[in-house]
Amino acid sequence: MIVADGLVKVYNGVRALDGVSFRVEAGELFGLLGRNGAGKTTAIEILCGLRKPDVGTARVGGLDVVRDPRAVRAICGVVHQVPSLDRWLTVYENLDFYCRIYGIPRSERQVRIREALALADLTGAAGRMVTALSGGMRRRLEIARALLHRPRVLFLDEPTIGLDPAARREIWAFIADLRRREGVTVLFSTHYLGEAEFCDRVLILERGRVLASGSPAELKAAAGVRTQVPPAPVTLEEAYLHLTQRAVH
Amino acid sequence: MAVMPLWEATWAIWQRDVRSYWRRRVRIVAALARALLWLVVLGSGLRPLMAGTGMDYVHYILPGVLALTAAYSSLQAAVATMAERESGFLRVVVSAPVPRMVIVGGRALGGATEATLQGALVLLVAPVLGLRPGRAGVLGALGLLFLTGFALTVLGMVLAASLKRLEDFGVIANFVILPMYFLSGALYPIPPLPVWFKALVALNPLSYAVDALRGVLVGAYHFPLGLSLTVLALVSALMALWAVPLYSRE
Ligand SMILES: Nc1ncnc2c1ncn2[C@@H]1O[C@H](COP(=O)(O)OP(=O)(O)OP(=O)(O)O)[C@@H](O)[C@H]1O
Ligand SMILES: [Mg+2]
Repeated sequence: MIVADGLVKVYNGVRALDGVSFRVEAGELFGLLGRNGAGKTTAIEILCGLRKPDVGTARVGGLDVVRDPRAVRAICGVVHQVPSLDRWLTVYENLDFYCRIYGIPRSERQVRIREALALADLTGAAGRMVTALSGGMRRRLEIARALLHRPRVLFLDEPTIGLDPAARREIWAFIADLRRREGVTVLFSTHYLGEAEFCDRVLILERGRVLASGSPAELKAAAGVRTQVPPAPVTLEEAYLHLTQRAVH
Repeated sequence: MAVMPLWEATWAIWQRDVRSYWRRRVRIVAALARALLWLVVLGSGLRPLMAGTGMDYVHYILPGVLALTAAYSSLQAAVATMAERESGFLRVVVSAPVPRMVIVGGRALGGATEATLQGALVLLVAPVLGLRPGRAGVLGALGLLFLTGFALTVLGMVLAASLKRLEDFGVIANFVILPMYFLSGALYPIPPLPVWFKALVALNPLSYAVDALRGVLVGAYHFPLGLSLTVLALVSALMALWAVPLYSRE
């Protein structure tokens, strides 16, 4: 579903991505890990047709992100790391605006907006200004909004940033439910390693390069080999710290 | 993508702009106060000195104040676009499968509408100052405000896109708007000016807006109306062509 091949992106001398290649199969839940500045957001923005790589190619749903960015954007839903709700509009107006920008026909808008509101558990809040919502409610709204045009691939850049544990759990339950019902492919980035435990596969970026990739179990095994002192790591967080050599001894 | 959704997206951006403009009413009031300050303080203060304009000085500067009001609303709309590029609604628009043209078009129509509404508020005060333009004059002025607002919003979008830091925009805006205003024939008649000054006035797009507004409101033209309309339309078209690529992400 997603194929990245040798992606390079340089911002005035900073190599944000330095030859990144990977694949995500259809229907997978794929986690992108890595410290601040590792290149996660840059990778996501290239894959959803928002930025051009300097070198390399990528295909999403069989479409080339450089040659056909608009077609790629049509099949992708994106939740950006920075909030992108319109603070001057109500919850309903935000959803309606999105529908119109994505060319959803008028006849279907009502139904889809109602579904999105139900999904985000915000049916009663449709008429409220988004500034009156809590952080968690806003994030849920952003995720539900990204699904309005029924994307085949969903990109979530730190979807649970700044949320309390209960709200984080709710968001993941929400995403799991969504995958079950719609079968979307989900690629997300996170700093909460616990969230990545449930991924089909994860990829660790380090200074714009792929440091490791595989299923959580595979990463733990790989980290286990490196651990001089047994026992091998039991959580992905421990494995991550070993692999990125930031383990505290 | 078909023509319909393109128009739908442009219309959605326009509607969103006008809505948020209305929800930020403080700004509307502030802009009106600024216009009245120019009219009352400058207009009444200089009235005895400016008998040479051939008309009441307050009436003479009203078109310029209208154009100034339009310029401030337009640039405000333009700078909002840049601010929302990294967060906020523009991020959603650039992630959507619509061409960048829609961003420039929708915003320019929004900026033009806001300039027109803001100008209309100033025009409402005109009778208090003793100026009663006919219905045709008012309609003509509103049309010109829309065209001026459109041209200046796209111009502002080009400006805003080339700035690294948005905080600088306030300074830049005054640095652009005020010279354009002073060099537009808004405050003094053009014929007695020295040649170099006349040349600057002729190069300034705002001069044509001011002159056409003065023409429809009080019937005094310096440039032919057709020329003014052509200049404003050309500025809009050229700036739009320039702006569209600036609003594509690399
Ligand atoms: N617009 C930009 N201009 C210049 N440099 C940038 C820009 N965006 C990102 N960078 C740089 O590129 C590198 C990768 O940034 P990126 O945002 O992709 O990292 P990230 O993995 O998402 O980090 P975080 O976990 O903090 O969100 C960083 O060094 C950053 O400074
Ligand atoms: Mg990031």
